[in-house]
Amino acid sequence: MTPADTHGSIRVLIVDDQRLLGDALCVSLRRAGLDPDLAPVACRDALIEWVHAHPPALVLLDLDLGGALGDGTDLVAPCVAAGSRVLVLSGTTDELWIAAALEQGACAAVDKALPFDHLLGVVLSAARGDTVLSPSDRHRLLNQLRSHRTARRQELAPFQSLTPREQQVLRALSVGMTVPRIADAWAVSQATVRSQVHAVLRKLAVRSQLEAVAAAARVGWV
Amino acid sequence: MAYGVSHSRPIARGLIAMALAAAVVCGLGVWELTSSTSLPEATAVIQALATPAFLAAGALRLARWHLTEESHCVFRGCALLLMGGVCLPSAALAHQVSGLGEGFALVVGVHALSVGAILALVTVALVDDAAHRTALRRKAGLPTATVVAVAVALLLGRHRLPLEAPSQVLVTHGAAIILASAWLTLTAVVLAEARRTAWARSAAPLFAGLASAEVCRLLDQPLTTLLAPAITAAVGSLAAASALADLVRTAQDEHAFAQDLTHELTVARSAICDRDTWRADLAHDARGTLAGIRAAMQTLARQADDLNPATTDSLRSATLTELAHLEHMLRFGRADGDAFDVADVVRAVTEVRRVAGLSVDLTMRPARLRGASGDLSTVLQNLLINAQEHAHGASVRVDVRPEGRVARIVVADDGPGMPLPTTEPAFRRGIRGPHSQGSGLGLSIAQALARRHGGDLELLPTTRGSTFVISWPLAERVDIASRRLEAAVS
Repeated sequence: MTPADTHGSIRVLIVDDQRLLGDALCVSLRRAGLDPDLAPVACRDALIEWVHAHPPALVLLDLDLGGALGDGTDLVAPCVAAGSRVLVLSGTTDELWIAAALEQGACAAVDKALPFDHLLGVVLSAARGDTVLSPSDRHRLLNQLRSHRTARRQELAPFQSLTPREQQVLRALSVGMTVPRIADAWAVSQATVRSQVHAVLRKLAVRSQLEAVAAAARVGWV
Repeated sequence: MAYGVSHSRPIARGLIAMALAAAVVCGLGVWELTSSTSLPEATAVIQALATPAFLAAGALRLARWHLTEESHCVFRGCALLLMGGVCLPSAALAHQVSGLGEGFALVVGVHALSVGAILALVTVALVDDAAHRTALRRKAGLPTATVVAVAVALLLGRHRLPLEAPSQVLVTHGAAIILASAWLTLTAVVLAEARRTAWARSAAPLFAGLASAEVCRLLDQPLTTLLAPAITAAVGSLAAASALADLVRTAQDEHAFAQDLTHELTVARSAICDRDTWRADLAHDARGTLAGIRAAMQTLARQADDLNPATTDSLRSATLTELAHLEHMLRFGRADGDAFDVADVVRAVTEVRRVAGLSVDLTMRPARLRGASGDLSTVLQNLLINAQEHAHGASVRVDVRPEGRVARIVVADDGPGMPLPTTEPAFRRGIRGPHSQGSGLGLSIAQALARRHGGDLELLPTTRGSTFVISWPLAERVDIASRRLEAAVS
């Protein structure tokens, strides 16, 4: 990094395990007069430390980083705390994931699959500090996340009300175990297991074990 | 199935129930006799005991029909209800009204009619299950028709019936003989069906019992007169016991079916989840790779003039790396195969190249390799294509021999060899020879594939031509390892 870079140009950090996209962005951003840098994607703590030491103006962050970094959503807050703007560079079509990143403080999200010129344009305007995501879009995404969370909480509420033992019973049923086998495996009486099964059915408001297992599978509880 | 054991129990339970009922009824009868009650009264008491058993059996059969929707259950249930509700009360009444010609004929007529209806219902139940319907209808139709005809004759001719005692006895006996033979015929029909219809076997003792009760009544001795309703009561309890056992078994089967279904659903769901995860990963990787390639291509296209050669080169080679990565990912989708014969792969590949005009000299020792045979054929094919491109008109020698824990496949050509500058990075992605028409990916992919399977691809330093050596792990090594493991475990 030359002194001219640090004084004159906007620093951009690219955090993406997709090396080629990073390389191409680097080349194009440098040509547009910015000072891009590729982040090492090997260690989360080292990356955060690096961001804190030299906060870039803009962090281009991929959400699905794989390997050591995993979910990029967790990196949004530390970057924002260091004083950088975060633009999510998403390969995902999952709006809830993007909304979660926005909630953490990301300024906008841009789809990797856009034509490269378009992608570059969004990155440049974000680097200049322009508003990339309209407030109404942002509002819509965050609302979507909120209503999804509420719906999810309601879906899971009956399962949360199960005692630990009842949860174990439901898990055992959902892997195809029968009441006698569960009783055998846990060295308890069949009557005990049956009463737990009945409690599960009552709390989930279903009429059969099959229905209970289907409900658990439907909401992704098991 | 875990519930299989209970299949043998209903008959045993039924027999016990029958014995108990017979004992109780006989005991009651003897007690009634000794306490100098009149014979018809004692008979009526015992007969009254049989009625609820038949009614209960009928109700249980109908309940089973409700669960399974097997139509024969309806017919059998109705027959049992008819037995308990009409047939037995009318028989009991016949004893009470003896001596009154007109009323007697009416009661016996109703009794015979109900027996006819029962025969018809059982026949319908059998016919409903059986494939050979006509023969069955003919066999069971005759006794039914006879009984119904007698019943109708009694009902219609009751006003002209002689009131004298001898003729009344004649009528009673005649009716009893006809009914007994009707039950016996039905027993025979049901027994004949037992091989084809599962429930017929358990029904046969019931009809045999009813026939013997009728015979007892016909003998008209004090003891047999008492025995007839006792047998009927026993038959009733047997019917109720077997109906109950059937119902329980049906419920257990339903339960077992639900459990099996739960298990199947769970297994299927987890398979779908695995597949979904795999597909999502693949889609994500592919999207990312494509985005990278698009970005690099557009950067190269728009800014080629401004970029320094090193950057252009690195972008270009990175693009090719990504393409290879994409290809690799799609290849990953296939599971690794089991052991395969090296000869099959080498022969298939060299054959194709020979057809394409390459002269190949093949020497081979047998060896079994592990991993995906398709990957080895890709590696070998890339080498042969490489030789064909770089050494025009050259002949290629392929030699396969197991060596230690790997098979060494030597591919040597007598062409000009790889020019020195490209010898070192021959395996780097995107490196092409001066006359190459290819993407420059062939050798690097070949090496990556070989390494992925625990093997390698090397270029040997030679004075003439190029000599590549593929090493690929032998399957035997794994077998020996697992054999050792087995030995250690046992």
